[in-house]
Amino acid sequence: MLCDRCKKNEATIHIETIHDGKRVKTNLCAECARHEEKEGSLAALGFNLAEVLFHQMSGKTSAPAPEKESVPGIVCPECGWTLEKIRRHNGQLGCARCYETFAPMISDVIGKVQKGGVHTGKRPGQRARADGAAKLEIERLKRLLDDAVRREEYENAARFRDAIRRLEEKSAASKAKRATKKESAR
Amino acid sequence: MTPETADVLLGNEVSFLAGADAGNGCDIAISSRIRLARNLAEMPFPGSASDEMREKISDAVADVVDPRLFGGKVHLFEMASLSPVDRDVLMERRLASADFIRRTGGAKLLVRNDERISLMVNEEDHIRLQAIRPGFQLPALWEEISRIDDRLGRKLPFAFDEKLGYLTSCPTNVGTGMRASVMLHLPALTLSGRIGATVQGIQKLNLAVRGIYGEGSDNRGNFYQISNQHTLGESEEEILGRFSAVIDQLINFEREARAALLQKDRFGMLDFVGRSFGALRYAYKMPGGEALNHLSGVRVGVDMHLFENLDIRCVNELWIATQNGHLQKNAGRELSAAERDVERARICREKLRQGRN
Ligand SMILES: [Zn+2]
Ligand SMILES: [Zn+2]
Repeated sequence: MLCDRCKKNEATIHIETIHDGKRVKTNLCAECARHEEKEGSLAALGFNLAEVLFHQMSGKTSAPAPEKESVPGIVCPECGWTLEKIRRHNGQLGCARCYETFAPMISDVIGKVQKGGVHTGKRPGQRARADGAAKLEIERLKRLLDDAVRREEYENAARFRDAIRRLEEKSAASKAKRATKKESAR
Repeated sequence: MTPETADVLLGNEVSFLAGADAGNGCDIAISSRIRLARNLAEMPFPGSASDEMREKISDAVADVVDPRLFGGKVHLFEMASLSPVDRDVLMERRLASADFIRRTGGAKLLVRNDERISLMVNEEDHIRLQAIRPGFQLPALWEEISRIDDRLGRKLPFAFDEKLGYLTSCPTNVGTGMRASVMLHLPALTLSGRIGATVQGIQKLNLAVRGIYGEGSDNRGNFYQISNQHTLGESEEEILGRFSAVIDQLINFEREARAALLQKDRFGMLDFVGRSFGALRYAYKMPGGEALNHLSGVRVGVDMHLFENLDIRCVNELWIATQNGHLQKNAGRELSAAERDVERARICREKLRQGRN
């Protein structure tokens, strides 16, 4: 069986994905699988950044981008990459500065593939919230507790309830400890 | 640090597969993983950097990753100086991506001794930090990886934007740079034909699903990798919280589907298990994809306590031992595809004959 992507090499990897409830089977050679396989890659997410970029540039909405199109001359002053180059790299940018250089196109892509446009998570240098993981664990245990109660598995439910109580006590204690630390640091 | 070969890892328990002490949830959620993408400020991304620049980047990262930062002894691997079999071994142990092991200039991998923490330098981004464990345990993973990321961030200047967060080579990872994934074993949902609708439901919740499939006509892809699609717009805890809720629900669906199948079609379920065991126990040629499908069947049997003599550890050891890199490492030489099928079958027969030690 030949590879679906390059139609040259023998397909050795068979991937099934599900689109709209239908199974789609893809047969790939090892080389092509490497591109498809990347977790979080645009291809894996079903997006084609290159096409999004090109349609914006040319005002087209559906036709695939021609193989060789001369791109209006935006060049990143830091890495020297152009949109054409980004397209050839499957939507990867050349450097952090590219985010500025190609800002309008990138914000369009972000609007399509991300949940929001503003980062609200952790920051470098700043310590992660100490109780973040504990909070997650408590949330999960509460769900398990509800399930156990629903299924009338009361022994399990008691176990989850105890675990939740222990975690809540622990995180309250460490919160108090941090507060006194802050106090004494003043 | 001196670069090593994959041999130093072979005696280890595989980080993402449960040992004999397999706890709750390991039956359906096989493993959990979190990856963080980070880049150094003022440096071009690996895709546009010269070999020289990439070497400089990997030296800078390797310099700060010491046992204190990683919380244990650190091994260093250089992709350029490893044999193809060694590189496959690293990928099969899920320490390196398929893309990464084919890179050369400056592609270095740092692995903590227990393999639960690792870091790829110069993959698609300068830094891909990974934490992985068996079963379903995202909170513990997040706590550990975030702590190590904090330490890294105090020693290395990360590319960070006030609005967009951590800047990554691909805008699909920008923001938190975080990709969490859980590998699920969903044979009952698959056998009962409900997997299509289930997967559709998961995708509506903005999670990505990948089937891990074998070859041959009788394809039963029972292993699924679920991961978060968005990395920007929510905090890490929000993403993980939402993600965990879906996984818990999937685990429940699978449990219910197993119970229902057993009630409705007990012999169908037993037949699936029995045929898988029979093939692994007695076949003389076993292609990799077929092995994966049969290992799914045997795994169901272990979960149902059908085998006196076989535990999940044994199934997990076979999972790893039957993959191409480990197979050839064990044989001590490179094997052709045909030779691999024969060798794979031999290992399966032996292992299942012995069962639990
Ligand atoms: Zn191909
Ligand atoms: Zn640039």
